[in-house]
Amino acid sequence: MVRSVLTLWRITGLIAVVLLPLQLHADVYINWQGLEDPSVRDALFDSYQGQHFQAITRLQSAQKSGRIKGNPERASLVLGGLYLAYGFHQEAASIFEAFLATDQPREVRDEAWFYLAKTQYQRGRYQESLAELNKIQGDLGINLQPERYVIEAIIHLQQNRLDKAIEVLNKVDQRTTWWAYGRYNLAIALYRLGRSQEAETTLNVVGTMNATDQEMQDLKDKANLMLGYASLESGAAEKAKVYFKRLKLNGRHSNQGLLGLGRAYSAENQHEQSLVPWLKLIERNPSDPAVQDALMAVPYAFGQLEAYKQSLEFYEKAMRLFQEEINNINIAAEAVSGGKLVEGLIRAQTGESVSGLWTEEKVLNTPEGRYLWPLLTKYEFRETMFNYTQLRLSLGKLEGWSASLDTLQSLNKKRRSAYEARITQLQSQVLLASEKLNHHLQRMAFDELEQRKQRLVQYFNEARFSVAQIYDYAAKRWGDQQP
Amino acid sequence: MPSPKVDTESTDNKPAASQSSSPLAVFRSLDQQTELLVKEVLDLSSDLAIIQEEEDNPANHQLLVLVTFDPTKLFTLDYIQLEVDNEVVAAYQYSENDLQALKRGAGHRLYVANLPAGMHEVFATMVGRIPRDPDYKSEVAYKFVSGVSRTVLELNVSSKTKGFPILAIKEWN
Repeated sequence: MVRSVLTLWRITGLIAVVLLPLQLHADVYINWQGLEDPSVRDALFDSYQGQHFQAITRLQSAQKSGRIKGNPERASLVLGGLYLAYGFHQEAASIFEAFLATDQPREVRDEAWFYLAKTQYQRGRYQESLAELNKIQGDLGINLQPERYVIEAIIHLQQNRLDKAIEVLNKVDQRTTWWAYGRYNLAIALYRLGRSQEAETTLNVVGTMNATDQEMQDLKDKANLMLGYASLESGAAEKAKVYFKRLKLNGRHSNQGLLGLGRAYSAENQHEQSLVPWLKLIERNPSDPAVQDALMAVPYAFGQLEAYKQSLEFYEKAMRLFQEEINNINIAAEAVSGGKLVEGLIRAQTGESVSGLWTEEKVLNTPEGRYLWPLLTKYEFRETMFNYTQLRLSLGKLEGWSASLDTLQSLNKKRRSAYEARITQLQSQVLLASEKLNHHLQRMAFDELEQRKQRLVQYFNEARFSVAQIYDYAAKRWGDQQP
Repeated sequence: MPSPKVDTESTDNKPAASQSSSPLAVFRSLDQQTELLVKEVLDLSSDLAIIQEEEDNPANHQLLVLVTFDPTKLFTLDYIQLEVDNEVVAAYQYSENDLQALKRGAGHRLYVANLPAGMHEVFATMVGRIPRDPDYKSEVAYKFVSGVSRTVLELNVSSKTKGFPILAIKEWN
């Protein structure tokens, strides 16, 4: 008998993943009250249009020129909000700490703390984020309060305070989409506590909800996927099939769903049925790990059916495809080390995509680029790309200022020299930091590629071993004849 | 069966791991450095902007016209045109994004320029939509003196009076 190489996607791995919608930066919508000063309102307009650098420059210029009319503390607070909207939380935090305790209305203070907490959460600063959330004194309203609870609960989950997470998640208002995220994360907490039955019931609510948009459909599919694998893990293959069949056939999670469905049949030794989803799956893109799993699962199933000729054919097909994918990874590694892939992503981010030459899709929809898609779902990679992009833009500005200093007639020699020195020093610091960021991006890309490659190499070797086993088995059974 | 050659070598040319720190620690440290540097660049940017603005539009002669909007349920602002001393100097068509920003308290920089000292007159026209009138119009004129200090005029759209949206001008001193 040819041995099984099926590796089950373990529920323990699945439930480690808590869920929050992926956003690069929080949209900061603090409802400032009593805004009158023209400079503040002028800067806010730029910020709301995404022109954060210009917004901060304008407000800081107004502050430095003494042009703020009325309440200077409010102007400082708005500046903190502008930094936050730009994605930089440290300056925002120090401004809020200094000014938020003053005479600001409670609603303004609460919203400011919330957005600061959200940004800190997105930067992986969970302790700080929780501390800011705890400063919120009132109810944030239907638009923010449910999100606040979900963020707080996820931090508790990540720090293994499961009971606290459950307590907070049970407060999420049913009338918002956050409720579905709340239920999903609640199920994770319950699974971790070993309360599987409650977890399943909770998750089933998400898995059967009426999904009104793509985001909710994805969440619904993810819930069913988790239910399916949890059922498989507990030996309830029949139930697992029901959950896997709920997934959309062409949704984001459909590959994992088809893989799971095949496994559910396989677990009950229904190998012919297991081949139906798996044969469909192996026609899809082989860079997807689920497709790679299926490439090994199909010949395994034929082996179980004692159809050794087909088993052999599919193992050989798998080996060919694994080899091609390994080659693609090597090309990707070269493109990463030459800076081509990361550069392409940065250009796609900085708006150099007007000509259509640089979009994330175009950069990543190449045989080698496809392997970097998973990186874009990681905050660390996206934030590092954002930081790298900001430093590159800063370098461009510094270069421009360096070239235009001579045109500023009002600068005397001494002041001009001081500005030149300041620009030069910043240029070297920014250059050094951007090199470090680029290095970090490449490091993350290489780690991703290496992980994927090792998996393929392992599969290739296992396929080769299985082929040898089939030949060995055939030789013993039929002599020198082919199986 | 021929056995294809498989490359088991690790992906080469990769940069060395960043010290022994965890990836999250490296990320946090780089994140912190980036923010400090961007803040310094922003500080420099505002310093240079002050110098540049003073050269382009000396404070005493500068006119800044800002549009603000008090949210009204029944009015959609389409565009505003501005004349200074009987000459059209600015006209702006408001997008949905612009209107959202205005409704949230932002002010749109419609016009900034350098004016000679003396008396000037601005004339602003606002066009928008209200129920049963897709070409609703409101106008306002205002005289001011340039050359004494920076002039900031706020063109405010509101419907505080009689329920109909009107355009008003406020001069900030």
